[in-house]
Amino acid sequence: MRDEVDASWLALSRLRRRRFKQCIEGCSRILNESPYDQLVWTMKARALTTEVYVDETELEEEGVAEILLDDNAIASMPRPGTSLSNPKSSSSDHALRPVSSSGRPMTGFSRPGSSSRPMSGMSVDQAFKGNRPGTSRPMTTLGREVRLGTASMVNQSGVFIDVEKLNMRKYAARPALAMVLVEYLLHVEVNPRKALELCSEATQKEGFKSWFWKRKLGQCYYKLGLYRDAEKQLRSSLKDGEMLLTYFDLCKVYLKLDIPNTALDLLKKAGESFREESRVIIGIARIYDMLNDLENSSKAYKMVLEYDAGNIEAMACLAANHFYEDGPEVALRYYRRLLQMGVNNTELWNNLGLSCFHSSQFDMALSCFERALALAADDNEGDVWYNIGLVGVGIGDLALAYQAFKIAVSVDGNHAESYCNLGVLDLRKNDFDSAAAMFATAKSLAPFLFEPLYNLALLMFKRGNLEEAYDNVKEALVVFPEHRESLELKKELMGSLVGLR
Amino acid sequence: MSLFKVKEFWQTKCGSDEEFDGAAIAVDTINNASVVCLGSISGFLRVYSPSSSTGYDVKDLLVEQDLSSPILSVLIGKFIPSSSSPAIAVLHPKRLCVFGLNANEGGGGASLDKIYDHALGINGQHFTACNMCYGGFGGDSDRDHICVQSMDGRIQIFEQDVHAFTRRLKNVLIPGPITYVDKIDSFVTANSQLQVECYKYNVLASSQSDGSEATAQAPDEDDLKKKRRASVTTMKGVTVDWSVCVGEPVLDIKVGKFCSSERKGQVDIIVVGANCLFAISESGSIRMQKKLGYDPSSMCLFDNPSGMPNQNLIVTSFDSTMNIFREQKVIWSSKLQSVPIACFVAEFQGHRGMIVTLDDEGFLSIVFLGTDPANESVVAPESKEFNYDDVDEEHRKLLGIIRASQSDNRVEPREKVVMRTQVPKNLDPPGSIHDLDGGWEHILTSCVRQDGGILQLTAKLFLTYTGTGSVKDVTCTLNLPPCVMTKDAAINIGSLRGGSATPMIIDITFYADAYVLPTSNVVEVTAMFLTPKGEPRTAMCSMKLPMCFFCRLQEPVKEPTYKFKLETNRQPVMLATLFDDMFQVLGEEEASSVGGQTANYVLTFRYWVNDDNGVPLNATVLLSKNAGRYRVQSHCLPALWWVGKELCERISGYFAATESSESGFEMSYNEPHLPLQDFFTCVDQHHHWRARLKECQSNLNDTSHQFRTIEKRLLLRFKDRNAVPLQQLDVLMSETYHRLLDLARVVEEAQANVARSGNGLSCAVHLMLLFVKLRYRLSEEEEEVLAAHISPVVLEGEGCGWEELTDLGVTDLLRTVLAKKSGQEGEGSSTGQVRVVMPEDTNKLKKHISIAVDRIHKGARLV
Repeated sequence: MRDEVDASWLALSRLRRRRFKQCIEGCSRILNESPYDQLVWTMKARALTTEVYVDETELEEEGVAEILLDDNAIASMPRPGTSLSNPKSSSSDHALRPVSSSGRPMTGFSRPGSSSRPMSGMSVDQAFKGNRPGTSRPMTTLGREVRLGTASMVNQSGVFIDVEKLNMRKYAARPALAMVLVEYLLHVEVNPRKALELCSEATQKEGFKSWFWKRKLGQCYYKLGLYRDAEKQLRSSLKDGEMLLTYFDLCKVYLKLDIPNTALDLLKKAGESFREESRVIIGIARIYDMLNDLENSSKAYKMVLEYDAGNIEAMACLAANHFYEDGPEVALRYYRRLLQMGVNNTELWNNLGLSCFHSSQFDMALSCFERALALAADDNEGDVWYNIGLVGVGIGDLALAYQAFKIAVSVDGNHAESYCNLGVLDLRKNDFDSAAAMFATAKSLAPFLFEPLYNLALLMFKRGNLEEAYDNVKEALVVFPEHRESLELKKELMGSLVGLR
Repeated sequence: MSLFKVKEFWQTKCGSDEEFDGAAIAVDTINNASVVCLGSISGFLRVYSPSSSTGYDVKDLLVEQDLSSPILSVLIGKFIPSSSSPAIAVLHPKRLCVFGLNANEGGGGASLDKIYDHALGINGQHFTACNMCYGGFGGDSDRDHICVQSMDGRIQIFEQDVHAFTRRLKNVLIPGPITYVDKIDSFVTANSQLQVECYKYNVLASSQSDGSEATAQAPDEDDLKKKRRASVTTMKGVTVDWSVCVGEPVLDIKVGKFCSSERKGQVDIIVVGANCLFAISESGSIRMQKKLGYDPSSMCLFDNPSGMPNQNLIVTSFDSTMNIFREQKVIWSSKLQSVPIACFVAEFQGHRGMIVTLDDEGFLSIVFLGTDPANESVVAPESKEFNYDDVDEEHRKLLGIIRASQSDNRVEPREKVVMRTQVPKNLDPPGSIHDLDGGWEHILTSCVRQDGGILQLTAKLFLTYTGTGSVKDVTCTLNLPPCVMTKDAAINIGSLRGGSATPMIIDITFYADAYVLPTSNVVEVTAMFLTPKGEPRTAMCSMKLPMCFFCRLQEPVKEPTYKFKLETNRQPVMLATLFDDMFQVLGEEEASSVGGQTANYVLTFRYWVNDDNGVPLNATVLLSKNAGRYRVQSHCLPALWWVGKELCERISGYFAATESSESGFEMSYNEPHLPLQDFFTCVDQHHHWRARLKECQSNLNDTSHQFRTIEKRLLLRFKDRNAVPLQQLDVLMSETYHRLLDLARVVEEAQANVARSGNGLSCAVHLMLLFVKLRYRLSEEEEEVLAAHISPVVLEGEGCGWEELTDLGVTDLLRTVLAKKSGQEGEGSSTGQVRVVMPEDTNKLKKHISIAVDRIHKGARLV
């Protein structure tokens, strides 16, 4: 007679092999027969949790409410270089590197949270526009936290775990169950309040000695927005057990509190305990990136590549840094490596094309852009056309450039950079009214760009509209205080205006 | 993401529709050959010995046997009593079997011999196996013992064919991976509290055996389950040597030397969790943590090929990549074909460092690292030969479209409405008064009556639509000169068929106004419509009404109050020839009576308009018999204009038709001075009437105010409860009322006078412009400029009057093009805000006009 395999063993095996659907089905079947089997219950909870698990050590997308009502920053008027909303600005970068909607130079890697960090005094409009206006929708209030319940959660008798009926004290007495349950509450139910309840009971049971529960407490506090409490718990957790992941959690709290230098110190300390840990160095590099300290960030990225030669983020960021520091040939090599690594998307081909163009490999450049266009989706096709337009400007084919920019704005009606360049091309055609309209459009779409403001100011100045020129140059200087041409124009305008009086 | 992919050395697919677990594979050397021993959950045990270098060969499968019970785990070790030859241990849910592998004689495969087997638990009951590990427990280096863990956390130790003891581990809810650490003679396992625990073998062996548990006759499943539950909370006899919390579920535990250190013989316990990789020392402290950026699926330690003491570590992930670590550094990463659930490093056919991987569908492969690029996802685009001619052609076409859309002068759509008019040369037969009954009284009161009917002229308007289909809602608007009336100034056409359909014909009947002198005979027709694309478009055409519509020949009279002379440099043209159409209107008799013998030299035209005395206005044209000199005369200055203009046009037209354009025909007006005084009389008259109208309106205003005041007072009296005598207020009211009516009549009269004098002024301005043009030989452009500043269009109404506007215009002319010093031209053009009000008198205007004419006389040009 053939033996049957034990159903719970099979479920366990499948859980290990990440066959979650089958595992959950198997568990549900067993639970139907014997609803109080803790082993199976635990496995099912773990399967459900692992299925939706998100690596929370990474930064996360911020919702509209968080962006608008962010009052966790310690200093409302931070000194330059001490806050994410007021990063060190270096004049050369501003002019050379494109900026994201928050006025921060683009990095080579699009990661959540890094580019959408609000500037001080962000308007509701801007918050709702999201990262790339028109193409991306901002997260709703809770960011990624809101998830619809998956069907697998509901077995025949309804909800798998009825959170409201849980007696936390009872569960806290059984650490094995509690540990599974807390993950379930945090990741599946997304109910940090209940999780917090459980954690505080459990940590009490453990005599306030378990780093695990303290870390979980910190995570719960973080999710509830109680960052100071989170910090306290995580710090205490690190004292009980120096775990790598706890450092990342704490770092995240500090970034939320907008004290990046403290976060940096923390990661450096972690780097001493965990030598050669690439993830720590990446964290350091990211913070340097956020602070516009590109020199240190590229150093860190290089170090990351020493330990993990396949790190795509580091490669992309280094490539971007090299590109904007006048090393398109080096950038090209990095981008080629990325391509070999299996990254195959519009952005990469686009960057390859640009690097080829700037290193004078014109024939390659155009075919790269062709690839980029072939892969492009609606939200990034505008960027590709914009870059084709730039190539057109570069080789002097202004008709091509004009058409490319036109296509860019037809694909992406919010492409402010294209509008700005269309304005410049219109100026060359002596079509001043159209140029002014283009600049004004660019200005309204992207108040974080100083180029349309300066161009508009210059145009107004040349046409004798001193007042409007002055207004615009003032706005340009708000965006980019060290822009020399704007400063000069403002001086001249002041002279003219005083002379008029 | 990785740069490379692995190279296949040998591969096969085991079974079909079978499921495999990562523990049920073992790789070792048996009978001097590397074998892979593989068990499936369906219960098949297979042993492979890859021998051919050209991939899988049938001979490579040494044994395939159905053990008719699921295989949970497979180990290869020295399990045979008193023999050091390797044997295969196979774990079933309820049994543990050990097989020896013997090569078949005469080549071709091998056979499995069962050496011994154990029923797990007590006689194969109350024990469900989960996993197992082996080693020389208790420092026994010659023999390998087996430790089986059950689903509820009990371990059962077998010293080869002898059952040693059974113990219950602590805190096990889900059994974790278990392994034996040789150096410290301990089992290391992970419990459900996310801890890694270490149990000393000695301690386990000597601890009070859980007798009741081991011997209890738990009769039914329910009881067992209860025990299982109880096991979470109750702690039984065994003690833990050390435990360390890793904070995440543990996938696998391996033992080796991984971290670099000075100490010899150091042992690292490598724990791979859900997110991190840990290295734990034998004393239970965490030596190393590393965050993995992926979900690990299996791991394997192997000896460093370069002979270094530290071992390297392979971690495979669920995104089917394989990362090889030397300490913290990733030294290689490679793409695999599928997600491996187990991997081993072994020597095959003399090649060291071959990697065995298995996925959970039974795909077994032996691979080695290579530098083949990882993926073919970046394929070259289909290298289509470009037909450059076609591309060029298309490009040119597109450029054309783009240019057309960008240029300012856009191409008009072909679909348009075309209009054509047909004006008869003669008048209609006199119309009946009854045609104008009902709503057209205003025409009736002012139309010209003649021959017992109404003077009327019917023109035809042809409308054609050039597009296909039809156009809807075409609105034709007629712009009439003041002396012409028609029933409808706007004609709405519901739908106009296009294509080759016959044009739509609309009859328009014109009536002449008996109170207005003709100033122009041009009727402009404007058609407005929407193209099929919804763009508004217009079409225009104009028609000229014949002269007979405005005046009529009569017997010559001589009233040379006002006259002017035109000279030509040609022979005279007979007047009867010039105005032959006017004769055709008349009947035979009348024509002869009107013309008679003198018709060639004298013609008198009678307008429909009467002068103040009720005498019809007329104008007479006289022709000099021996030179091309023409004289126009009348007793009224404005009456000169229309006939004079017709004369000029007809003479020019005559010579333009008979001679070539370069023949130098000229017409001139050679009086030394322009008749400005007569013109000013007209201006004064117009101004006078305007002033009069203003006065009358002011009077009317006062009177009506008075009327309202009286009304109010009267009302008060009437409302008062104690009535007060009226005190002749009623008389006053009736007087005021009559006065109001009188004044209103006066205003009406004044308005009519203003209109009439305005009409006269308009004619006079036309005439003056004609004189200036002929006298000083102005070009067309100059004529236009002058007419724009001294406008022949006299508009009446509440707003600005002609005098103010003309004064402004002439002042502007004097400041700009007619300025004294040509160097300052344009300087004074920016005037400040000017209030335009009706001037008290016309002296200034007259002076300005005189100066302007004087300057033109002195040779100033207008352009």
